[in-house]
Amino acid sequence: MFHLGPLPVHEGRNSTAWWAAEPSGTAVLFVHGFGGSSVGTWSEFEQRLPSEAPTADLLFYGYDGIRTQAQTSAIRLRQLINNWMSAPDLFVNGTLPPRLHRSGQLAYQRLVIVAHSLGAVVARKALLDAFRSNSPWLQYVRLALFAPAHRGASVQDLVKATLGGWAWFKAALGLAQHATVLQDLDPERPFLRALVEDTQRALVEPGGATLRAQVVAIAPHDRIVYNVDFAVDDAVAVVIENTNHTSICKPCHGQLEALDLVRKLL
Amino acid sequence: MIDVERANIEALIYNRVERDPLAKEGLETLLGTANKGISRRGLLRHHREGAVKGKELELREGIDRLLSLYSLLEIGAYVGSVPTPLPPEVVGPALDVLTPEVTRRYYEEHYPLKLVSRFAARLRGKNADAVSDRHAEQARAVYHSLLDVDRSIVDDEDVQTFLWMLDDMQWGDIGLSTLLECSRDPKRYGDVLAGHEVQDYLAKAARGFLDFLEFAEKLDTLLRRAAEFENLAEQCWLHYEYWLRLLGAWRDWVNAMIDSLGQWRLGDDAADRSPPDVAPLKAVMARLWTGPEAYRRQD
Repeated sequence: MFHLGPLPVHEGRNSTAWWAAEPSGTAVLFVHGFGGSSVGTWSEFEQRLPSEAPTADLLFYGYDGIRTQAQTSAIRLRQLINNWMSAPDLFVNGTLPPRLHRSGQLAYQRLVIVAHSLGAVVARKALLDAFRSNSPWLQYVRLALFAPAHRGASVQDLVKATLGGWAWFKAALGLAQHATVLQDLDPERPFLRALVEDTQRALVEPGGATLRAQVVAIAPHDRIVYNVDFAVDDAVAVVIENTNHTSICKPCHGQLEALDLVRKLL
Repeated sequence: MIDVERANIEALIYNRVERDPLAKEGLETLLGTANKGISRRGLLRHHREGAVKGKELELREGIDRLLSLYSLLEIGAYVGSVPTPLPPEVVGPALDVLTPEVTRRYYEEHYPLKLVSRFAARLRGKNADAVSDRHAEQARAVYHSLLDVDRSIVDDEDVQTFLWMLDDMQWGDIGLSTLLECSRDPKRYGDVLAGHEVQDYLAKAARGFLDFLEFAEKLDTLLRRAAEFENLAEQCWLHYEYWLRLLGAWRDWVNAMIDSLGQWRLGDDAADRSPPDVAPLKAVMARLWTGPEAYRRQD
């Protein structure tokens, strides 16, 4: 065992951390998609990644991916990253008993953000805002996107495919009252259009290259997200065979490509 | 070099007790270092011997959270996620809490919690149950998932309100009978769900019921996974036995509610207007009510 965890993190919703017993300055942040959950979306990453990245701190971020607008989720995500990156020891120690507090003045040199579906939209918006506000941690970011919805999604298919059983009903009930996040995924609506245009502009500015996705992975028969290139600077998309929109980010026996793609960014 | 297993049990206790004022006060009350004027015998009575009110509610909630931690530690010990033998700084206070006759009656008779009894036996060196080495790693992964699933209801105020209501709790005129009554009219239930006032216990319980159903699906998935690893499914099921049995007493109502909610039309803004198939959820609830035998591995 290389990590302390799972540890509850109070920022977000059911956010969960696995802190390295001997940290090396690498952090990995997971951001789920519509209706997902902090750890469940990434099933088996939390089991397999610790041994692959024994010195990396892992944070599975949770948020309300049904009723909260993407803009709001992005602001909260950026705030979390600010808190974590600007005072890593303080952030980590907030989850640990005093005897286990870190005191080594840890500074991160790498932050890998791994996002799925709507999470890719939230992460890209958070990074864009960080770029505009000259956040120093942005230079350490590497972005990996799985089945990203950054070019929009088929809303009905998204709801049906990502939420099974009772969660479907609960989501539908919530959406009947607060459907705004799904509107954010409509490529013709202002939010997504602005995100694409603003990111494209930022990418050619000094330092803007940090906004490019270094991994874009898509499922072969994904009928939910529109698989269109987001920015020419992004890495060329790879197809992970034998996966669909929800399984693409769940490494399992016989299909470890998602894990390999993240590991290469560490 | 950190002893990771030992650090993890320390962190679990820290997050479940030290950072939870209610659980901490519950611990201190049982250890006799706080609330010395309160009779522990009276405090730890069955609630049908006398209604629980005011400060007692908080203390008993804290004690229940503490016992829930011990229950999780028993599963942690079974899968080898906590050190064996348990560290003395865990054993000492836990024995002090669990040994007195008045406390034992609380978790053995009034509100039987088998895992807590097993943990108490483990503390006394009379229980060494453990999953075999060949299953240890996968069993630990299931245990970590259990901690995640458990947190989703422990931290959910709506679910807690629903469970309290199920356990005879009343807020003025508001109680389980109010929830049952309002659930007979889907429109009224829908209106209640939209309530967001802090003191709106009916709205909280109504939402909590829906959240609990979502939790039930996650638990069922986890139990089916756990079924692969000796008695792990039974251990995980036992952690929720009290609530599952309590809810089981209302199974006709729960099934009727699931049917009723499945008939709802969610309006044009919803992503899909066709009702969900409620049969899988009813099957989930039936398995959970059946008990651990529903999760025995079929060889």
